[in-house]
Amino acid sequence: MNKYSNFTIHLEEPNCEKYAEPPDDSLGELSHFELGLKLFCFECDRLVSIEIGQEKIKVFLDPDICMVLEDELPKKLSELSQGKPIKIEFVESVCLTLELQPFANDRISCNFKKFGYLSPNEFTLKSQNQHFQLHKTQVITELQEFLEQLMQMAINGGYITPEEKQEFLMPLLTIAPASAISS
Amino acid sequence: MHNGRDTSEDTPEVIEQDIIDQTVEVGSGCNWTGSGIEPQWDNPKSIKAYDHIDRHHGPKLKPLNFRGRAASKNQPQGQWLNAQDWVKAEQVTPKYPGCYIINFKRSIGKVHYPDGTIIENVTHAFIRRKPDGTFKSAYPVLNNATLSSLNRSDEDE
Repeated sequence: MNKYSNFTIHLEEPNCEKYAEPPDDSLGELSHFELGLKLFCFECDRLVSIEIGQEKIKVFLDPDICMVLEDELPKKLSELSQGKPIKIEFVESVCLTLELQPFANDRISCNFKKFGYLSPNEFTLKSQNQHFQLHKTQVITELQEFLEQLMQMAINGGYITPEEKQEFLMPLLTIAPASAISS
Repeated sequence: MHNGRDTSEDTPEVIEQDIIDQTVEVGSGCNWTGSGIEPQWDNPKSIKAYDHIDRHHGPKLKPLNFRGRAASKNQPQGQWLNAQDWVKAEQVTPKYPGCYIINFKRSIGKVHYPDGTIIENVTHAFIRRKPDGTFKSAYPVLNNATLSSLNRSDEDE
């Protein structure tokens, strides 16, 4: 019997509703890549489905996944592969922190921390925790492929350049063969 | 209520916090440690400091935007009344990365429920400060204190 819970993340249907204003960098604060990422997530918004064991959550490219990308997900995956704990955090569509702690034998302990509106009328930082045991290689591979897919879509749409993608995904080189980054 | 102006008794107060790193101070008035140029902290339109707040919880958004989002996420959505209040929030939130709930002690926004119900005169905000000091997110939220305060003011009326 498999002792690990499965971890999946994938794009679902486009979100045709616009719930937010478009990104506006009239002050000129962002790099081409930073603004391109925001524009891609806004203009190509989609539902994103994440499953951890029996837990299923739905988030959006804009703003949830955009925020995860801005939190340097490739760098975090590299750290995870080196045995360091990381956090993947959602504070918009859902209030959820995934605390991933690697252990020996390719094992990850995942603390699934829900906070926010745990009851309809009270937002709190106190969390409800659930624990899962995940397979490290499976989690990293799943997230790597998801990242690769998003970056390629952003290039195809003209939001970022291949060089920007390569630089952003550079930390993945430490955990995978060079084929993990293809421009 | 003081028509949106702060008096000493209105000084915002942190009521819950989950500090991630207390070793370095970040945010306005501190050394900029993030990438690129330092954001314009005093400008609510700063995309670097406040992007997702303005676009997803700003005062210009229409109730329909929030109802759609609240329904699709099945979770209440907060809306600021005044963009200057998230600048104020940046100033009063502790200068450490982490999550906070701030009581402004005055109305700062409203909360939209998935069924279309809107709760006005919301006084608290959730804040998530990133390691570089910018705000990942910030929006008005409800809590028991807000509701009991609203109930009291309803009875007073």
